[in-house]
Amino acid sequence: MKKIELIVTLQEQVLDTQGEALDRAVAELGHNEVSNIRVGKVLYFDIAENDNEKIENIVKQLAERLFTNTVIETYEYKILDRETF
Amino acid sequence: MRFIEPTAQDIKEQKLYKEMGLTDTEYQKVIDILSREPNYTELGIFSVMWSEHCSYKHSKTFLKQFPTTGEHVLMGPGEGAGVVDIGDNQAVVFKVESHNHPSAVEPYQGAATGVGGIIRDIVSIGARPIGLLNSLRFGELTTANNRRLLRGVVSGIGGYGNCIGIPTVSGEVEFDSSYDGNPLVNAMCVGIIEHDKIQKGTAQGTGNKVIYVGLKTGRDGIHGATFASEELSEESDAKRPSVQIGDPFTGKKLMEATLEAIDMPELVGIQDMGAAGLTSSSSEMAAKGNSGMTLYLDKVPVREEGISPYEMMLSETQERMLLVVENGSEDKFLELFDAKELDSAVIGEVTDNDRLLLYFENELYADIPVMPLSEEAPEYILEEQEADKDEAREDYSNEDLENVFIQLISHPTHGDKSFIFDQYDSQVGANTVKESGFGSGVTRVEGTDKAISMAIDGKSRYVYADPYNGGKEVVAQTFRSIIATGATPLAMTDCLNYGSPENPIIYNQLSESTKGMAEACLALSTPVVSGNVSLYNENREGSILPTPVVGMVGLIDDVNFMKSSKVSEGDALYLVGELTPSFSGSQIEKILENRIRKTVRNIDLELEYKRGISLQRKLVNGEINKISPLGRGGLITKLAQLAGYFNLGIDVNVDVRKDLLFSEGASNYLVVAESGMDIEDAVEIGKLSGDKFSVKTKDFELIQSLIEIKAHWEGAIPSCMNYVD
Amino acid sequence: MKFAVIRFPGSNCDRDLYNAAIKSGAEADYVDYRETSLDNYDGVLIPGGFSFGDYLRSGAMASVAPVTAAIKKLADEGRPVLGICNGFQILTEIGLLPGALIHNDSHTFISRNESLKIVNNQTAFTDQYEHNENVIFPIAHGEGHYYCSDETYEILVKNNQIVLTYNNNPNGSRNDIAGIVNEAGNVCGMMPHPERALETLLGSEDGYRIFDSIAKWGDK
Repeated sequence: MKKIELIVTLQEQVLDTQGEALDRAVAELGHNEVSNIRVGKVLYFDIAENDNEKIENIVKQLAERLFTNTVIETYEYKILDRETF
Repeated sequence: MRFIEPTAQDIKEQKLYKEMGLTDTEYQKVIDILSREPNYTELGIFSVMWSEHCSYKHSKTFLKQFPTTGEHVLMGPGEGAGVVDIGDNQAVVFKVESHNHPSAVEPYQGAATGVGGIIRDIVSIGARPIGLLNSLRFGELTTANNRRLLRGVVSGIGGYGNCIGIPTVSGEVEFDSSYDGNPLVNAMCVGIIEHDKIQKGTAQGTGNKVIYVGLKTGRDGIHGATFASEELSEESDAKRPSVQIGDPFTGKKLMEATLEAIDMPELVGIQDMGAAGLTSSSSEMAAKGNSGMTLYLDKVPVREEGISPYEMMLSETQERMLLVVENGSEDKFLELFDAKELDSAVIGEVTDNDRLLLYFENELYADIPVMPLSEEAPEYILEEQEADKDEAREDYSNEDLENVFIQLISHPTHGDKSFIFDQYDSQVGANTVKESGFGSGVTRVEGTDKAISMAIDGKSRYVYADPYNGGKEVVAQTFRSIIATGATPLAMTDCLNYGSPENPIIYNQLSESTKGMAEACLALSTPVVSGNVSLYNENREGSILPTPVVGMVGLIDDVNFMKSSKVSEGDALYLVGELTPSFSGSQIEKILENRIRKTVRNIDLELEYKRGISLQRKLVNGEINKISPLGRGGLITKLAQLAGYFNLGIDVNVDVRKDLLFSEGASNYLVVAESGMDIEDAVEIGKLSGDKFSVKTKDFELIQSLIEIKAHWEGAIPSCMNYVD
Repeated sequence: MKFAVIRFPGSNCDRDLYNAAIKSGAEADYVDYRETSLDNYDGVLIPGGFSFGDYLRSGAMASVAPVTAAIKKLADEGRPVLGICNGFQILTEIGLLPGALIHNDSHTFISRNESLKIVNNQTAFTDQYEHNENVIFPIAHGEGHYYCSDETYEILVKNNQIVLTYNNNPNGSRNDIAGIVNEAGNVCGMMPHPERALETLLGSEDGYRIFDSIAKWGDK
């Protein structure tokens, strides 16, 4: 059993309106040094499998079929050492 | 497994009941009922059932004044919602409920679960919801926190209502600093049912099974019902876990499943698990059925292990219903719920022993007599004191009225509400004839020419100025909104939002205003069929204005008359009723003096009824094109709103002292019709025409371009919300 | 013509769409998302709403539902598929239509009567409208910003696949796009709700001709 952390964000060229609004809010808070906010989502899940190659296959397949829309989103993932939280 | 919790001894010695909101006397009463000291689970059950939210202990005495029966009333208060006949074996089901405290703590979820809760109330009667309404109060939008609350509440209402697919057809909102930190979120739902489908939340028939359906129980909102009855303090921030999370997707599945279950003859009773969750639904159903009930709590679907009976009984996890079904039919129901992908389980049965017995893995956790739990809730009559009266101010003609006017129409309370309404799906269901944006909503009853008119309103400044007459005015104002759609008002629901009743002046507001409301209900033939009370809406800064909110429904026999009632360029404007000085609680008083004078306000209910019904008939007959009741900000504000909404110029000349353009007396309407009509108590004051907003009196002249007026009106809320908070 | 009105858990315009189909003289059935065959139907209507709560992404979970393969098969055979609002989102998720629908630029839900233009009356969905005719359809969506790459946009233009545009872009959609068809012209998706615009009493009757057109699909 392994725990997976999958991070989904909008592709670079897709306008992230939420990120833009946050950019403005952060600037209004006086933090001009902060910019380029991108908002995404994180999925955590367990896979009852220990072979890393198999795990990667499963994750990639699911990420491209369901967890992300490859027209607008991109993803990266980590296999966490911890089994559960 | 035995859960580790305080013993009956600990509770007594450490007075733990106080933490749950019970007084020494109330604790003693529990002991008297049980003939022994309560254990932790039992104490929790008593504390939520005896909270204001569930027991109305401070308000019952006032609620008894309301007329609750009438020609059309099929079911009055006491069930999930009231039911009123609309002919052809159909009935309308409706109720309003507050979710003020949860929304103050977490505006999105607080508002969303408020909407979800009121929908389940309607669905548990067996009705299909056809419309949602909301009444909102916030502090002024000049502060970031109030903007955050507005954003959160509006997206929460939309988030739930849009997703579950019930149109939000009307609403109203006011911004006033008395609501700083104490926003009010009152949600109303209206549904349609056939007479023979009306369900009651009752548990009858020894051996019949109790079924749980909906989201798995978690530790959400434990003690939410008592939380809703406490003043907000710094510690409220730390109480964040109390807020429940709404799941409109499950809510939609649950709604459809419930409406199917209601068609099954084996269903005995059904009630939603709202405030105080499993506790109130189980004990109230047993009480109404004159039965006992035994629950096996280890059978309750749970989100995580180790949830104790105490937590289970008090959890306010959303999207759940409790059903009682005939013994032997339970599998039929479980199969239905399975097909709808909902969790469900048989968790107990109806007994003939008048006791609520709770077991967990064969161990008894509570043994409470059903009747005393709901019937012997404490009832308090507190000390009241009438506020000192102020001297009335009857003349504002020396003020810069043009400036007051601009301030009024560019204030969020009076300006265009598209910023809010556009976030609500008002047309899903494809029966919305008249959507929110300008008064009440109208939804056609599918497959018929009938339509239901629905409106919600509250006029707290009037109630503060004169609780007794102000109470009458709140009912009358909502009555006018229904009249304005051409509907015959049928009945109403109310939500009483006040500060702490332990303050004698607030207690007096409660007592006087409900007395006025009750008289208005009688005079206007709109009995009260359901309602809700929310007290302790105050913080260290002070209390909210007394804000009774009235939701009303009316019936339109044939909605097709609306096809021909159009407002267009060249139409004449009529003022119905005389303008007299009535400034206590008015908006001009707020803007110029930032206060409310406590003086007598006048309203003639007989005239109100007669005038209203006469205008309503004229509208339906096509003699007049539009009725628009005057409200906050008086005649001139209504003219500006009309101009902005229809994008039409105004050219009127009124034969009154100029400040009376801002007077807020009762029973006044603006009517749009052809020129030269004979309308009782009305004078023709001008027309809708041109590209100017021109209002004249003997001693006053205001002429501005329509574009400018429209910009003020449309920009009122957006210009405040431009900030990224 | 007999239409399947697909019902996902969370669909909430299914009745409106069904009523629209019936009103235009077609036959229609509600079809559960767990069905695997649509062989008995001449066309598919995918309603608006919040399928599977719109959790994860609008239309994401609906796109892997059992009925999806059958919808694709029916579309490949040239029979009409119309997806409205959430239905449009689902069609892009399935890949029957190009591009994607992302959050409105305002990040708020927008519901109102919207003025639109029929920019393509050469499709079997819009052949009863004048070219560039202005119509009023209600919109009601939180994720209605039509996004596509430059490359895709060029293809859409070249093949005349853009059907409906906003006159006052409410959500930031690329080039005001409100509705498109596939290259073959038998799959159409749009964010606005023509099924809510069937009678003047409710504000507009401009949507009726779409349903009248597809009800006569068999004659085309």
